[in-house]
Amino acid sequence: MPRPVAALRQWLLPASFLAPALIVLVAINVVPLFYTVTTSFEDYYLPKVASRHFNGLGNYAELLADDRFWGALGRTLLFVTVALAIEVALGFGVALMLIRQKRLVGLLRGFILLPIIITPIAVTFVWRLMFSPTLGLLNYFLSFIGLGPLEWIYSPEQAMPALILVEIWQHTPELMLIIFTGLLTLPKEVIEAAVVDGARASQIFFAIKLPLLRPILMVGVLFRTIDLFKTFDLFYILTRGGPGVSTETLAVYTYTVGFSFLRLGYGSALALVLFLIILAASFLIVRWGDVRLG
Amino acid sequence: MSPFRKGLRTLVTSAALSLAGSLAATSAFAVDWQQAKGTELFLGMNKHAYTDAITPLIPEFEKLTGIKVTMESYAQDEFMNKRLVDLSSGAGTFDIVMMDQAIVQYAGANWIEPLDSYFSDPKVVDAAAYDMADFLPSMIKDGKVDGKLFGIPISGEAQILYYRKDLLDAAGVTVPTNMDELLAAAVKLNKPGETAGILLRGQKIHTAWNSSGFVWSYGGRIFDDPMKPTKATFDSPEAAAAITMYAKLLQEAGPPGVGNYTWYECVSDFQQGKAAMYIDASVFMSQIEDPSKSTVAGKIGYAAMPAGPKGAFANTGSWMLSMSSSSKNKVGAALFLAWATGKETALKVGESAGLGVRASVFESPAVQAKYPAEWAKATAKSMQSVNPEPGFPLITQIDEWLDIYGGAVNATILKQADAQTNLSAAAKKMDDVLARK
Repeated sequence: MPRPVAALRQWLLPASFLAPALIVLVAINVVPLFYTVTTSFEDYYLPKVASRHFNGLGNYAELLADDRFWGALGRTLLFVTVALAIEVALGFGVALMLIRQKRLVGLLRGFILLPIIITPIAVTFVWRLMFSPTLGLLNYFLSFIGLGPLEWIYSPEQAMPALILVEIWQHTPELMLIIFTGLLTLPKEVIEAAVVDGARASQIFFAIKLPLLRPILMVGVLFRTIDLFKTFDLFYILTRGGPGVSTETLAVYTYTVGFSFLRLGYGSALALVLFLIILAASFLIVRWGDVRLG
Repeated sequence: MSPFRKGLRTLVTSAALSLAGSLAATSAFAVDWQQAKGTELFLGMNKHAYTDAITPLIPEFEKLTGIKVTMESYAQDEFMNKRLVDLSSGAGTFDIVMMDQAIVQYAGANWIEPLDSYFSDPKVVDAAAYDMADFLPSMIKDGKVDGKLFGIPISGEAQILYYRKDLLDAAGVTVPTNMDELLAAAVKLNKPGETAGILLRGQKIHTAWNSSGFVWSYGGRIFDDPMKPTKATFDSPEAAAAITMYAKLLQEAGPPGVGNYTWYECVSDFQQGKAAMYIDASVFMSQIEDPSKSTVAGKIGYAAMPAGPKGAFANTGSWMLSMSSSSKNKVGAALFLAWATGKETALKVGESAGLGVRASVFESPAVQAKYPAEWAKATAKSMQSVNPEPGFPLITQIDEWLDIYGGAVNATILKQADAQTNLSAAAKKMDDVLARK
């Protein structure tokens, strides 16, 4: 019986090559995810491990009635959409300017990329110092042009815009880089043909460059969206969700419930909801944006 | 000699020898400091004045015991996460951790070791030299959960009033002794854009400890039973009056953006001369009097917590050291605790950092000579108050209390509603949390 042995060999060889990667993937991705899913159906309060038990959809029912969850969801959506819109617009603007630049392109690009290179935690602490209403650098500069003092992250109204400002400063360069690279790959012939046909600059941008760029741009948008939904370091260092709950997003609330309140069951349910929202958003972007993955 | 007799003689001799041996050991009270020689200890510490003060003393312990000590210190939030992950998982990385009010959770979950057996063991602790009774009662009580000792206090603090002597003199304001005088003084000293009249913590979690002292001083209580809380009582009219005052001080004489002020912002502002008065824990004296960080060093006066209608009840607090249940070197850890919290080391820490939990430290002439006498008096006076409740409530859901109760105080400061409305809603939420299994 040579055939089954041959078939086995044919299967075994590739499998043995794939196995290490698959085992690592399962251990660090699938197992924790599965564990989070099962925990989200449990009443699990860390200091009382002994009374941990299955409680069905109890956590999800609590979630529906939890005003704080809905508030956090609303703030998350606000944060993601506003920050993303500004980052895309700014990213485009800077990339279009940079591509026309003839000299010192490398140097300029380096400067623009600085915010990505600096350690996020360290730079966020610097922002916290600059935001201080009494001692901060920002109010000091504003006072020269007769403005302020603003309260920045210390006021319920100004805290979210201030956070979005830091987020934009930190992450616009990522999108800029993707768009810039995309612009470089555009076929020159098409644009030249359009110019010959007498198309205006705005027509070239909206009818040619943008559609051609869409698949690449959408990959950037996808990455930013996932990142924005999960943004945590910024909130944790600058406001901890305050003043009050004015900057409490889903990621922050999930952390608070899980690691401050130690309610791991409810925390897992929140984490899973955030995961599903990100999954849905990513799915829509991939579908609508014509993103080709792999 | 018959084998029986021979056996008997051996037995008697050995019994006598061992008896003599044990008598010798007990009569000398000698602790064998070298008994865990060659082992290692790993300490998880919060970045704190105490940590800075004990670090240079550690080599003395290493020399005394032959135990190698490694110490890691982290910023408070990070430290609490690390401590939680390590102790709850039983990983046993830390042998000793700095402990705060979370002691109730940690003791309840058996993550930390009860210490009574070590401290009553003459092989580990020389009871006479250690002198447990020297600890101030309000401090040592924080280390006990259900009557058992789980933490040994190392640093104590109490709410006091810091004020700028120069500003008060210039404005002709006398040092306030009660809350109404405090408000009047704060409003008078408040110069918007230059100096705030008063600083108090405003960020929600950070307001909880500070405002509790106000609630007691107005005759209110945070919970029904101080030892076994079952119901929130921080929505009483007395408590609402206290929180109204707390918020009013900040609304009428606080700095801009005080709604997100932690102690960090308060201390920086005060150091930079941006406020005339400040009520907070007594430990901040060393930072405010440090001329390399503070522009107001030497200009500060100290007074005890101003009184409310029912007296002056300053909140007190302590940091402790606890032993991890997962430690693999418990004897070494116990030796460290006995050394670090013993009279001699405590006095050295007291001298270098002004921290004390033992009566002998505050009475020491060296400590009294080195630090402002007014500060020592104000701290001692604030520590006199026998508070009706512990500094932080003895509940497992402590972080939810910080969030709910602190959130109500914060919302009052931010004028989102009046104190009574906020506190009533919060008390209802808190009762649900307490009822949850």
